[in-house]
Amino acid sequence: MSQSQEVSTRLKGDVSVIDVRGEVTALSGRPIEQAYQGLSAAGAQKILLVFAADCYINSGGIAVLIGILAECKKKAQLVRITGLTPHFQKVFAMVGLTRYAPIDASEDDAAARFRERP
Amino acid sequence: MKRAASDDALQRLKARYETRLQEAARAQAELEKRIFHLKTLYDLSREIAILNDSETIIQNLLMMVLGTFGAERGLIVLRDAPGNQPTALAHRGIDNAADAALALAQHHVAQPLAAVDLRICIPFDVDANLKGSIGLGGKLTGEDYTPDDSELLATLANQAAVAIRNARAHQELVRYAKELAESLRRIQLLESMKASLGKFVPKTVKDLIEKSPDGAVLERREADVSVLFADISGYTQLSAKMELERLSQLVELYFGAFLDEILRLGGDVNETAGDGLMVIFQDPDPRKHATAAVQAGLAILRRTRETNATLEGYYEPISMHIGINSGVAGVGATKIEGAAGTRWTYTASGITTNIASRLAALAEGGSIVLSEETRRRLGDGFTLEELGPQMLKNVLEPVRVYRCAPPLEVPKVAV
Repeated sequence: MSQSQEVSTRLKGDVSVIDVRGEVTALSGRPIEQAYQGLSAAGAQKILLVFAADCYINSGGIAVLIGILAECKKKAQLVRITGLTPHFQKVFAMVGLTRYAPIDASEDDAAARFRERP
Repeated sequence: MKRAASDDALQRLKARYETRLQEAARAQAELEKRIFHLKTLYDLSREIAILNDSETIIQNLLMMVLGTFGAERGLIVLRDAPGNQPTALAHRGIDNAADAALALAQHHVAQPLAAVDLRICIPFDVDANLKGSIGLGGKLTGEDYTPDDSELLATLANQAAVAIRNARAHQELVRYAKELAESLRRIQLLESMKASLGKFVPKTVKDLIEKSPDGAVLERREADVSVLFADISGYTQLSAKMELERLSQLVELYFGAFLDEILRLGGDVNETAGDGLMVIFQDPDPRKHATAAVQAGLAILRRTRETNATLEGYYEPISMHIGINSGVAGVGATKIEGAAGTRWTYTASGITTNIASRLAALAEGGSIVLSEETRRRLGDGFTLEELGPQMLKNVLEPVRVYRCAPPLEVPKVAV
């Protein structure tokens, strides 16, 4: 589990997308926080976290995501998550992350859900 | 009728099957949760094992427990055991972290801390002097913390405590290594200073300071010594004829040769003043230092002849005249205070030294004049010529003196 982490951002319509690859831990979580802060500062209101199939997320990484989602809640930003493996979908549900950010099957599904709540 | 009974049985079977299915789903969820917790334990041990400072370890621990239990707020405080004052803090999502840390540092029980809305608190021990506490806010799921959660949190905390102990031991080791390196550097500096100062300080003083670095042994005391004065005959005329640099080179050449003999015979060059040397000889046996002084005088004369021969054609030959006296002198440090500061010299002072100096003045070039007191202590093997009682400047009583003629070879008298 010594994969490096890659984080990038892009726009998909009015949705700001954060693409995450590799390992997400407390020690390597800073790039995701920076990516979110950058989008937030640019006025993003709809944020989609897209995890690649090779993502490994440990408890420390989940804490990083909780911090981001708590910030989104404070700023009334909408957040959705996609790309998670079934295992991590269960883990996210177990720790209550899905209460802040629903999980979608695909980017298109997520985009559709965002459109339902403009 | 038969069909209705069969439907009922089928319904019961279906209900039982669905119950079993729900139980299996719950068991699977519980299993997955436990696997997730085990993975957290593994990840925590793997991540903190490579960290070597307490703050980073508790920061990492906090993130791991927040993620494990799905909590948004939490803090970990380390406190010194006697004072309960926070020494390190990690927090996330806590508004007034300093106050919360103080409250948690005083809260040493595994009970929620309502004052700062911490729903679960677990104290842990790093060692006898360092304790810690973890406190977490409510779960995102809204569920309460369970006894299993408390047990897992305590296990994670204890794992971190071990890592903190190791980190502190590592830091201590690094600190010791730095102190050791600094001490070695200072020792090297002192050794280098010692080597440089050794060129200026009498050997006896070096030995005494090494034995007693606080300098207590340098205090002035009465001791039986032999004092030798050796001067270059006609130095004033010589300095008028020669350039200063050439004269210095000449003196260095001769005195360098004398120094070897003086040190070999246990003497300490106390002073050099242009044309002369003052040498102190000490030994528990008064005969030995007197003999050593006269042997040194004879060796100085011999080395003068040898050096004259070596330098023939380059420099005019020189001659030395030497005075030796033995007796009690005030030996030790003498403080000279001036407006610019204080200087300490190590010398032998008093009438014994004064007489030695006067005897040197009395001696002709290439000869040694010694006092009755020194002669009395000498064994056989020295050729002495009595010169009778002599009045010496600033000495009240006449002193009987002897001239020691240089033999062909220096007598082999044990020193």
